[in-house]
Amino acid sequence: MSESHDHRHSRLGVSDDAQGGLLVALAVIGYRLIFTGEYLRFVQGRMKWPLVVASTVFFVLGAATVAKAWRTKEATTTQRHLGPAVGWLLGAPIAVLLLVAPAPLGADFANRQAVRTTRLPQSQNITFDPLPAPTNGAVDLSLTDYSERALYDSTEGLAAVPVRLLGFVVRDDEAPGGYFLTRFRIACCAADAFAVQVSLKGKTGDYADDTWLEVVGTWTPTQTTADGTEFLRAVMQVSTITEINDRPDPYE
Amino acid sequence: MRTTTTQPRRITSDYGFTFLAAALLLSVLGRPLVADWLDTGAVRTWSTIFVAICVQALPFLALGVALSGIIAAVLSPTFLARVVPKRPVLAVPFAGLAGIGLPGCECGSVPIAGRLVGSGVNPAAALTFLLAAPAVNPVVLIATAVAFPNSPMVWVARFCASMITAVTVGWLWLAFGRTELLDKALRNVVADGSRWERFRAACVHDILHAGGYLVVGAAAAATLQVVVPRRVLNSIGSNAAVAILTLAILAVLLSICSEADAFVASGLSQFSMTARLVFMVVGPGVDLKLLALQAGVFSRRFAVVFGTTTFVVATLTATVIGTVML
Repeated sequence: MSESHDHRHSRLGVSDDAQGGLLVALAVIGYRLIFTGEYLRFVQGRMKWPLVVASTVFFVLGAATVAKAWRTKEATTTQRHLGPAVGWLLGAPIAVLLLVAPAPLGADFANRQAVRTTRLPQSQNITFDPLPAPTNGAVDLSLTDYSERALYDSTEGLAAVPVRLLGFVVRDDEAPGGYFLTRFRIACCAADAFAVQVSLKGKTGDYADDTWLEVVGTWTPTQTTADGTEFLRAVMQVSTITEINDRPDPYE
Repeated sequence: MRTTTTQPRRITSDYGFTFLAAALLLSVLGRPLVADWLDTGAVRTWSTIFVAICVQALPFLALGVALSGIIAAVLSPTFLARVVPKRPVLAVPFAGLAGIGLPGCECGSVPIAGRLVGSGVNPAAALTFLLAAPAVNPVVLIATAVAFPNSPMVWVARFCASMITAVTVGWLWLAFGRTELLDKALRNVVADGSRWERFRAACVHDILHAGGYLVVGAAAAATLQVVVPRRVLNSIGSNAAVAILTLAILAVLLSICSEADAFVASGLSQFSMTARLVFMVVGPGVDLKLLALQAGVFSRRFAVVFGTTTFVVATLTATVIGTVML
C-alpha cells in the first residue's frame, strides 16, 4: 500500500484499533454460533472445526492488532493510518446476526424456489438398500430417502410399510387446505439449499407455515403429469400427525 | 515497526474504536425495537442466506489470508522467481497445475493470487492459479463425482474445461493484460518489521480488504436468491443455447461455493448435461462475491475486464467440452 493508495481511503477508513476490534468481534460471534449450535442454521455440521479455527485466527490477529495500535498510540499521539473504508462492512454480518437473529430457512424460501424433489435423475433400475428396521411401529426415513424410494424404486419396496417422516409445513397455494411436508437439503451452506417436499394426503390438519410435524403414513404412487415437464413430488397417505416443539437440526 | 503503509497519516478518525463499540452495543440493545419491523419472510430469508454465505466463506478466506500472509512473511520474491518457470508462456500452465494442490473454495484463492502478484510472480501465472485452484482441486472434483454418481465423465469434463479455461485466460492476460489494472495488489508491498509483524500486518490488511468486499458480494447474492421468482427456471430448460446462457448467468448470480455447486447442478435436472457443466465451470471463476473480492484485491476495472473475459472463455470451453465428452 503506497501513500497515494492510502489517500483513497477516505476519512471514513477503519482505524487500526477498530480493525482489531472488528476481528475480535467476528471471533466472538463465531464462537457464539458454535456454542449455541446456531451455526447449523447456516452451514453443514462439518464446518464446525473450520469455524473454530477461523474464529481463533481472527481473535489472535485482532487482539494483537488492538494491542499494537494502543501501544503505538501512546508513543505517537498524532499519527496513525486508516484501513480501507470497505472494511467496516465486516460489521454487517455481526449486526444482522444481532438484530435479525436469522431463523433456519423455512416456507418463505421454499415458495421462492423452483420446485425440485430429489437430486436423483429419472433413470431406471436404481437399487436401494433394504429399509431400516421399524421403531415404534414405523420406519424412520429422511424426506430425501423417502422421495427417492417413492419415485424411483421399481420394486415398490415402500408399499404397505408404515413410514415416519419429519419436516415443516409449507402450505400449497394451488390446492386450498393442502400442504407439503418440507425439509431443506444443503451441500455447503444455506445459499445452496433446495427444498425436498412430500405431498400429504388423507387425514391432515390445519397447520401454519413452518410448523414442525412428525407424520406417520404409507406410500401411494405419484401421478405423473402429462407433459413430463412438471417436477414430481412423492406422496404419502397420512395416518397420524404429531406437532413437535423442539426442532431437530434444520437441514437434511 | 511500521506495517503495510509507508506513510502514517495524520489523525482524522480517532473515534473508530469508539464508533465500533457503540455500533455493537446498539445492535445488542436495539433488537427489541426493530424486531417487529424486520419480521417479514423476505427479510428473514435474506438474512439467513447472507449470514450463511459469510459464515461459509470466512473460514476459507481466513485460510487464504493466512497462506498469503505466510507467502508475504516467509517466501521471498527471489525464491518464488526460482520456483516458477522463467518463461511466462510456461509459467501459466505450471500455475494451473499448481492449483490442484490448494483444496479450498474460491474465496481463499483471491488474496493468495493478489499476494503472488505483489511478490513479483508473473501476473498471468498468478491469475491462472486464481482460476484453477478453486475449480480443479481434489475436494471439488470428489464432490462433483459424488453429485453425479451415474455419470462418471462429469468430473473429468469439469477438470478439463476448468483447466483449459484457466490456462487460456492466463495466456490472454499475457498477450493483452495491462499491469495498471493490478494497481492495489502491486502496491501492496509488505514493508519491514519482524516476521510475525509482517504476517500480522499482511493478514489484517487482506481480511479488511477482501472481507469487506466479500460482504458486498454475499449481500448481492442473497438479494438475487430472494428476488429471482419461483418457477422462472422451469420454462427455460428446453432450448439448448438459452439453457447454456441461463445457467452461465445463474452461476454468476447465485455465487455458490465451488465445493457445493455440483450438488446444485445435479438438482437442475431439467437442463442438459452440457448446460450444467457450464454452470460448474463458470461459477468458480466468476460470480458476484468473486467480482467484489477481485475489485478489493486488484481494482474495480480489473474485476470488470477479467470477469467478462473469464465468463466468455469459460462458457465457450465448457460448451465445447460438454458437447464432446458428455
